[in-house]
Amino acid sequence: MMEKILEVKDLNVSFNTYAGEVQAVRGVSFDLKQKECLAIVGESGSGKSVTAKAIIKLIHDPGVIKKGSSIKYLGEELANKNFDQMRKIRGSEISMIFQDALTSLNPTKKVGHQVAQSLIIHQKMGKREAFDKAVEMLRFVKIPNPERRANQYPHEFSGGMRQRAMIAMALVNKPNILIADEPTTALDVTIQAQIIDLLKDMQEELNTAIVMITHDLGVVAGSADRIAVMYGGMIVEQGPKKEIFYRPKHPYTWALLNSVPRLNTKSKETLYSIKGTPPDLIQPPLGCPFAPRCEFRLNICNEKMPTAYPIIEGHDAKCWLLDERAPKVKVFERLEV
Amino acid sequence: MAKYFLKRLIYAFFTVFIVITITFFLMHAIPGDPLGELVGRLPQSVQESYYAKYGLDKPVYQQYFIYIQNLFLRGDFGESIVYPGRSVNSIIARGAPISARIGIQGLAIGISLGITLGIIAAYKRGKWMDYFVMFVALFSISIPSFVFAAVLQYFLTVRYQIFPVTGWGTFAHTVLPAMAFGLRNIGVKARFMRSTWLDVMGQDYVLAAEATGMSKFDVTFKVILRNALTPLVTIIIPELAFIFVGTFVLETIFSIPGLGTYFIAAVSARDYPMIIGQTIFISTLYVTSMLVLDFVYVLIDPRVRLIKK
Repeated sequence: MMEKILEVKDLNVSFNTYAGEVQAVRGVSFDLKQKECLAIVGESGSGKSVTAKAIIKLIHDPGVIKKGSSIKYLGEELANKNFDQMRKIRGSEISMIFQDALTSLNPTKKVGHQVAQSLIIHQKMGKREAFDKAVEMLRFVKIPNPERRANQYPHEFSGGMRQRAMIAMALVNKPNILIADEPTTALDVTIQAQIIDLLKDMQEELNTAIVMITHDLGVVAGSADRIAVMYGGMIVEQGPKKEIFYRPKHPYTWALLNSVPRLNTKSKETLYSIKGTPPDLIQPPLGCPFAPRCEFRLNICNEKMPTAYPIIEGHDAKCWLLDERAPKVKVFERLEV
Repeated sequence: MAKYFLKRLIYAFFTVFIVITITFFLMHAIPGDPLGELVGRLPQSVQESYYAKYGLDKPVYQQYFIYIQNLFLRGDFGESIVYPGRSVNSIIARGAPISARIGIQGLAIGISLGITLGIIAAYKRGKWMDYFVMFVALFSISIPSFVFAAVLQYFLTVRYQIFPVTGWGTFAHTVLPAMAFGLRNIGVKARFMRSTWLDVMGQDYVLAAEATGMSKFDVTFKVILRNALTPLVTIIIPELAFIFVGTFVLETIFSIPGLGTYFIAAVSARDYPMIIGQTIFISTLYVTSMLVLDFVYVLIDPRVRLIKK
């Protein structure tokens, strides 16, 4: 069994707003093993992006990572590190790429210099040397003409090329973990596939583990080893990709998988959608956050959040239906993705 | 690149030319003339020679061509009517540096304090410091500079005799008018800088820069400040043209022999050459500052470098 390089336990992140404390992430726990790709999926507002940023503590005022949260990187606790201690890890051990590469690259700095940035910071390289290394890195992420491209500004890059440059920037120090916050959302489908392929190649060559944040199950199917499904600031189900796709246990996962449009959907058929809206995280529900939208809701669902029921090794779900006292429900015939 | 700027230069020239033309004909379209009061009770022949002296006996279009000819061939704005014997050129040459000095000092106070306060407010968003700075800013914008000038005069010259009340000559004379002029600027700049700074701070590339392990210092000065600079320069450069205009009222209050004193006298006396001359002077400055802005833009914002070098 491979070594765990990241252990997140009971992560709580809140934002103090005028309206009240928004509990964006409520007790999230997961592990990441070496070279593994963990996909965190969920709809907007489920807390997946906040979870990702919390790993390298890029949570800014008014957001706070609450006491009791634990983020262990190679056994080292990150939760109580300050900004300067975190700096040593950011960009060298754990890197992050963002959704929209256009807005995540500094518009006033040449792409080559941006890629060189973390080399100068972490490897104490000289500017010239770092820039040459950056050009190599751009070549490595398959940007054609890297010598010329390195001297250009982000606005001279296409969307896909920008995301490649972002990836180069994040991976230039060969980090152990790459956090990818919806890396393909802003791209069109053909480019999406290329970026996913690139990330997989990089993962192979640099032995980087990836935390992939996405709402696109297609992306997950193509890249993930394990999947964590988030809803209302919690992980409601997690397990190996095959388990989640073929033997999901949580009604939210069912609903999510059911909403994926299929090639064999008849043209007149209405696309499935989950009725209702996600919960208000200023006053999060006592019970299961999905209960109000759940077709299989039991009385207890509104009152108490279930603990995780283990299904098989590495697969568990938080749903009362998995309790032995719960009525058996027949959910679905077969899901294909 | 050179072609682009040549084009801009030609446009700028035409803009000024149009301003000259419009001002000239507008001035002459107003009923009455600058000599009416002066020569009203003089005999007919003396009146006529007065008009002839200033060329006002000729039809307006002829006057226009003579004016344009003098202006473009010799850079001559003509002779003042209110101040006989003095050319408009010499009045501008004497008054402009004085007005500019107050304007530049005031702008320096406004920009430096305003930007600093704005950045502090942005970092302390939602805290009492932010509210305090924004209150001061609103306060400084709402108070007209002449009111503030009177308050300054009372406290810093009457109650505590630190600075001279009025007049011109030493550095001490420039302090109060510059402060009165700068005050409003502090508020405007602070509010502008706060919102720009917050906007840049919220950009993904700032987060991405932090994710590379950059220090707080580098993030602030190499990323945020660098990107907040573009909008700031956009509002500061055009203001450089107005350092001559903004001080007009203050010059009267502090009895400063700047452009404003002459300009106000010229308008009330309908002194054609003075009014047109000063209008050309200021509009040329403004158009030039716009031209400079275009140059500076190319230097500081790579996205503007659209034309192949």
